[in-house]
Amino acid sequence: MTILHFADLHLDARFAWAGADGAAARRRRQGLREALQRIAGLARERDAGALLCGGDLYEHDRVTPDTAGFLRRAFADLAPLPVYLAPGNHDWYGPDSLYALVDWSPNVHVFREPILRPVRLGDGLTLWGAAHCAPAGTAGFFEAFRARGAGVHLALCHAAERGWSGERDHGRQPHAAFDASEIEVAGLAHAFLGHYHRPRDAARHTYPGNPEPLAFGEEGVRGVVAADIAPDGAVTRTRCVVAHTAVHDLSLDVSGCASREDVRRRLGELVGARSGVMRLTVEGELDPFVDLREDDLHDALRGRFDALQIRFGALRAAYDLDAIRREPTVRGQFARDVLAAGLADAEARRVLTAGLRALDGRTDLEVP
Amino acid sequence: MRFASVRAHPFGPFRDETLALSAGMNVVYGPNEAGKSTWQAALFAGFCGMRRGPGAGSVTERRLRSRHRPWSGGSAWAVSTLVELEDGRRVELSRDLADRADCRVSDADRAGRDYRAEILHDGAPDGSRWLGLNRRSFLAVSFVRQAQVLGLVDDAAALQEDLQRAAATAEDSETAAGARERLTRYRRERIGSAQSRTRPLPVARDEAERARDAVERARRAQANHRQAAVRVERLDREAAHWTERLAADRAVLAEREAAEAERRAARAAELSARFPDGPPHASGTDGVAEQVAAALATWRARPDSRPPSGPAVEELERELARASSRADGWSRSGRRPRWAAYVGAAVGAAVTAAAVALLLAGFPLAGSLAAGVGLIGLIWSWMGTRRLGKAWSAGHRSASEAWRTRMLERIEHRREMDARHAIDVERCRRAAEAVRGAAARAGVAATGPASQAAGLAEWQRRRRAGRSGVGPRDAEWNLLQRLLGGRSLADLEAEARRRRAEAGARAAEVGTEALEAARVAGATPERLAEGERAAGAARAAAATERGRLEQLVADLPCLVDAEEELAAAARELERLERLDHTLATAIGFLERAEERVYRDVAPALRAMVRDWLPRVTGGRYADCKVDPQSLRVEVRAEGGAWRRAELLSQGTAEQVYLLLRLALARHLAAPGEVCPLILDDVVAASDARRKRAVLDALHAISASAQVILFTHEDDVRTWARERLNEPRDRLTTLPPAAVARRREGEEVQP
Repeated sequence: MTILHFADLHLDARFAWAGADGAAARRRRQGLREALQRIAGLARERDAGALLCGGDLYEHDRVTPDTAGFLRRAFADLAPLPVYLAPGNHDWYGPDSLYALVDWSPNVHVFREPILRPVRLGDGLTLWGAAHCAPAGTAGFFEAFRARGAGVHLALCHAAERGWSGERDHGRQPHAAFDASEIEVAGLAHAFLGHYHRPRDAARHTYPGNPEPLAFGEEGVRGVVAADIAPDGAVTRTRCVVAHTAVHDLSLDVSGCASREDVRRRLGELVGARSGVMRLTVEGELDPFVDLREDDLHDALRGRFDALQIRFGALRAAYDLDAIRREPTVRGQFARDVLAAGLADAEARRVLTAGLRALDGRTDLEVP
Repeated sequence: MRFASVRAHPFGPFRDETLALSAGMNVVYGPNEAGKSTWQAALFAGFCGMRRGPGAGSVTERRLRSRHRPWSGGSAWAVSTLVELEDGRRVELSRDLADRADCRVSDADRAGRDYRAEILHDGAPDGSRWLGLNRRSFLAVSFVRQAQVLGLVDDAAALQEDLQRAAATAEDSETAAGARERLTRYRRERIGSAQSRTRPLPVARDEAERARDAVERARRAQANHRQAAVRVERLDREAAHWTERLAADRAVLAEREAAEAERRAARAAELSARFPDGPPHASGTDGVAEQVAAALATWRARPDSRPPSGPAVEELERELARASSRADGWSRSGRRPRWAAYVGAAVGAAVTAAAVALLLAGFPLAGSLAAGVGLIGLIWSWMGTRRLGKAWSAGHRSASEAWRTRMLERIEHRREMDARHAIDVERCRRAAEAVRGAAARAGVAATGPASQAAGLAEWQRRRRAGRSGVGPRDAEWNLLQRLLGGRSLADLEAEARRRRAEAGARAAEVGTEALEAARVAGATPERLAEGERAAGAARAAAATERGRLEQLVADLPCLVDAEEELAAAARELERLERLDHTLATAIGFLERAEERVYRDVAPALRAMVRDWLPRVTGGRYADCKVDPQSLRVEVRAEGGAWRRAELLSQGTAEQVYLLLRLALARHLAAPGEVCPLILDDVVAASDARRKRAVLDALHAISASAQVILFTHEDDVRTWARERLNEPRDRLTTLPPAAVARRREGEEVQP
């Protein structure tokens, strides 16, 4: 039997992280829905025996009635293909969750309890699934669990593997934490999971990774896992990419640029024909005469990307600060004082550049 | 540092020409077009060079390129400068200005020594770095233009401002106070203050607050929506429960009725089988009893024969016909309310009549006026009533149509009631007939069907009382007749089958558990009524809540949109707050730096000017002070009052200014180095006496710093011939119109 597994789609997620708002963010959210449609298309194309979702299908706090309608229809259109949904910590099961309120089509099965419960997938094949019933504090699913009955046992849930440093829970209690060894001890042939956005093909468990980009710096082949389950429980995995959005994380070195036009030209060369979502880090030594602002870069790339985040990294104004600080002038004294004041690097750079520009008689006093 | 010579390989109009210079005072004399500006540019370009890098370069560099590229001889453009440093080194800076990468900075006395790395600035060697300056500041500190000196006359604050400017950056750009003012203005315009609510920062704060409120509202709305959805779900479940219970109760009742019908049919079949030849032997009395029983059953089942109330069909039709006729008449004639026409016409006629009377009575003016009013009244009345009539007709048509429809419906309804009444009357007639026949046969003497029916009932009662010993076959026969109720056995069996099928269908629609529960609870009519009431109430409540939910959904703000708007507003607020902080910090640092530097520079200026002031003013002024707050300069004669330098006579102000420039050059130059002064016709506007005084001052200054004075004035040349002492000083006379002649390979002779 072939099953298709995905997780962490995060429908209705925010895209402020990508520098997107308004129409751009709505496009990104539409991109997430389209990813689910492609997953459904893949399930049909591969004639899968079941579609599994390992949680964080949507974001509980932000989900809209429109998304509820979309999900119901998307899964109903797959009938009679069975769809199994295991709520995660972002889409936890509760009386006011979509899982409880939507009138799902008969081919959809929602796991509703924080303990593993069985459903029969096929002859000798059992799927155990569990749900997060709260946004935090869910205990591990595998530690005290033992699969019962003959045949091959699989699991579907949203859980965080301990000791895998792919992603961290930022000091919080990990969600439904488990050790990899617990899966075998529990008598499970394989666990199909969600939570970590970074893909992982471990011996007895799989994280498919988020199907559509949700952050910068995401690496690895991620999206959907097509798993062939052999009669003895052996799992053969094939990864399928369904993301249509390209995410770029680029650095623009502005050293040597003598004008805003130079910067724009260099930016054009760097970006080329890219599209999608981009984070641009501006760095290097910027000629003090170049009046460069964040808006200029946004203007140069207007309409090219669904979302664009611009940040200023190790950017220095190319003033000869060593020479200036030796001057017995107000300028020299100013530079000396600012550099000795113990300000943070970025703040010192901004204060110095603004002051030096004012002493040069310039009017472009906002420093990125 | 001092210049020893500068050589133009090709530079401007010169090709392979050299301007030699002495360590003291140099006067370079030449009329207009002799090339004085070119030599000044060559000194600057040879010593400082031009920055290397992309872009158009500074204004000075662009001007240098446009004015001093060789006029002919291809693309070559080169200059070399020989300078002597205070540490004794003699260094030659040779520059290919066309190719800014090509520059040599070599020791003139020791082969192989290259000093490029010592003085690299902006990608190219810059000799002013030995002086602790750079290209821009060297230009500002070392070069004194005629306009700067002349500015002292026109602008009393120029001296102080010049000092402040030099103290700020050593360049000809902005004073520290000006820079602070610039930052303050920018902050005011781009940030604003708490008082100015329309400025960017307060506006951004308001926006962020609004966005935060919007997020809160959206969150509350989302929570309300979720709660409403939960309520709808609960009520739906409740309604479904009651509906299912009701269906189960109905199914159980149907089952019970089916069983009863089957039992009745089975019993009837059993009894019927016992009477294959019809009723048991019937005595005459038995036949009468049957007739009585049937007549009474018919009488009791008779309908109400009272005629329906309300107007009869004919009356309704007449009313409809009358109304239609009225409406048609109005429609055909376009008739309007007559009272309006009559009133209008009457008033018009009355006024017109009054007009005639007035005319006849000899009041022509009043009569004419009244006649006019009367006519206008008549016309207005006619037009007004016509318009009213049209509007009234349209409204009337619409109302009339609705009324007609209602009347037709009433007529139809009345006809149906009449037909039903006729049937009922016939059934009553037949019942009365049956009662009359039975009464005649049973010997009941009474008149009228009601009395006869009562008599028959009494006859039946008495007969039952008298016939208690009736035979079992009779009883069975009677039971059979009651079971059949006038129908055939086949009808009874068909009904049993129908009821069984209906019960099966009802049971199939209900879940097993619910059906079992209903069986256990025992479906009673009371329970059924309770179920109906509860299911209806639950459905109504669910529908109401669903309506509320739909309204909530329609007005539901998008939380994620609101959150992203908040993020954008927060970003903008953060940007402005950061800018505000940056500007405020920069202003504070500048203020403190200004105070500190003025405090340092003021004593240096004072010391220098005090040393030289008696000499350059011929003993007229002996003391000087410089305000460390503002760099304002004041001088005084021995024991005299303090006088602001910019308010002195022009000659003295110029002398003081040159001294201050020298002092600043000293102060700004690196320790141990002396910055030369290069002056362009700075005494051109002075009268002869003042001019000599300034020249004497310069000559005196040249004892400690090289002075190079370019002039076109004959009296300055005369002064130079008289006062300069070679070899420490030098007078150089440029050939007239050197620019035009472009001599080659010839050294300029003193």
